[in-house]
Amino acid sequence: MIGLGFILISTLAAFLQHIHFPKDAERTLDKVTYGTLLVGFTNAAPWVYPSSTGAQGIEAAIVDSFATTLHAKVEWIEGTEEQLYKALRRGEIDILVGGITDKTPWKEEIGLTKPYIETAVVIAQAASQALNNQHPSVEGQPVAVMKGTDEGYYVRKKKGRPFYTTQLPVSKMFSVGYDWQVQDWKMQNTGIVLKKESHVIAVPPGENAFLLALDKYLFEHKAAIKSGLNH
Amino acid sequence: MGNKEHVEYPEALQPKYEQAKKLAWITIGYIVSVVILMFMVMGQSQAMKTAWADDTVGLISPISFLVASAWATKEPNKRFPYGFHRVANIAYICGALALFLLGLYLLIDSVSKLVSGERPSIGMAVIFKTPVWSGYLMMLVLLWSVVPAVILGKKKLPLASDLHEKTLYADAETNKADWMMGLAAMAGIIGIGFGWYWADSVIAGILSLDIIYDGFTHLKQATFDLMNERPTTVSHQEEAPVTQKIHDLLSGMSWIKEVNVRLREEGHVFYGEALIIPEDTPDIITKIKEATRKVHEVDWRIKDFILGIVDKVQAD
Repeated sequence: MIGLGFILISTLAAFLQHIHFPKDAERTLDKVTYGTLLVGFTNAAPWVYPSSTGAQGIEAAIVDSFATTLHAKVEWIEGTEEQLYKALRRGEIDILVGGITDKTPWKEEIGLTKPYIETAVVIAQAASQALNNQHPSVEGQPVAVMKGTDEGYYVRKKKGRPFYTTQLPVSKMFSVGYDWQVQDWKMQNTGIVLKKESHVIAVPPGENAFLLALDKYLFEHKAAIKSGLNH
Repeated sequence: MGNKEHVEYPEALQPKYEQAKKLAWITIGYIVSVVILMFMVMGQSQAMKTAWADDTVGLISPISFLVASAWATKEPNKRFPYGFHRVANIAYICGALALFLLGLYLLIDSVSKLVSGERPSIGMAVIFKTPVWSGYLMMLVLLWSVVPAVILGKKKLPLASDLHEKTLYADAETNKADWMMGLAAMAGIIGIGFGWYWADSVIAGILSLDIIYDGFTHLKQATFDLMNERPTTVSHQEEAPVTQKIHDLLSGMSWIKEVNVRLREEGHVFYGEALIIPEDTPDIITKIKEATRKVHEVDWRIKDFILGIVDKVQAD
């Protein structure tokens, strides 16, 4: 019975594929193909941040190459998070990037892709430190964290002392960063994980053809995106 | 007096009772699988959320049936001299209230989503390393929420009638009606796929109305049961003929001048009394014993029946 249902739904799926299913509520995919992709972004290094050409960073690169597959021009629009979420919700922009994770409080009101990368926020230590420190502990130790993030909270939970800075890493000090940044910093991962993040890209709600196209692009380039992180 | 040994069901019905308990366990296992699978693929579809919530509440009926079966057969004691049959009624009213409130919540939720023009997004899922639209996966899960439910419902319905088990009956009816819920939710997902985002909330709203209606019907009946309404048939459609049968039996006895029969439901069984004005007759004690025995033969559900002699009988 269930097997029969499986066949039925597969047949239905095959038929619907033929008529371009699912469709967008507001035809976003049609509009941006050979057109312009309006991309809102917030300054969220290293994911995306402003540059002379508009934006750069990991997510800027993803959006640029996705736009190429649609033969679309990208127009970058920098704004605040709330402003851009509201614009996205009403379909005034086509994509929103800015280091968004699947835990975003706006997730009920907008469309989110599947996570294109899972990263861990870890504590890194200088390579020289690592030599005589096989089982590192940050208890009572200063740990460099970016000012204005929640990293200090997690460091305190591990009994470390947050050292607030605006420039990471801090040499010869434990420093908080993404697992894939540690190597760039020429440091070593202590294996202490503060939190995990699943990064996503936001699209207008109900634009399911467009969402599926972006989801498929991310799925097919997952490996490339991941290796792109460690230059 | 008139209190036979304390088993809930007569010998002949025991196998059916055991089968009903087994089906209730199967139902619980099955619904848990549906609830988990649905939760995993649910996404933002309001219709799917409604179907999911309905299935979750569907657990209450079989659980309360099993809890009640464990309790209802307990011996009466000093503190609870009427026994524990009413555990079934309490389980019933709890389930009905949960269903009713859930329906109200879902209706408000759907209407507010419709009014604010929310557009559900359904993205990609990966099956066997192949990316597909999640909507297909959701439909497949909904199919799993429909087909076994209908089969289970059909199996439980006749058992519930035979056992005079209202919780089980309501449960079976819900299962049997589940195909509508599942198909409607599928229509909602197809609607989303065609870009008709409003279809999803509209269908969810209709489904929640159905839940409210079910909840209200059961709540009403559960309240009536606790208020000692005269016995009704298990589907609650009509008055059970048992009261009339006892009345006819007793008023046919020559030594009884007038009689008023009162019955109430205690879970699956009936408790009650006949208030009688006797003719002036010798050997009344033997006659009362004989009449009580005959009343118990009318129906197996008559568990505790008392004949009382009064000087005035209230008119029906």
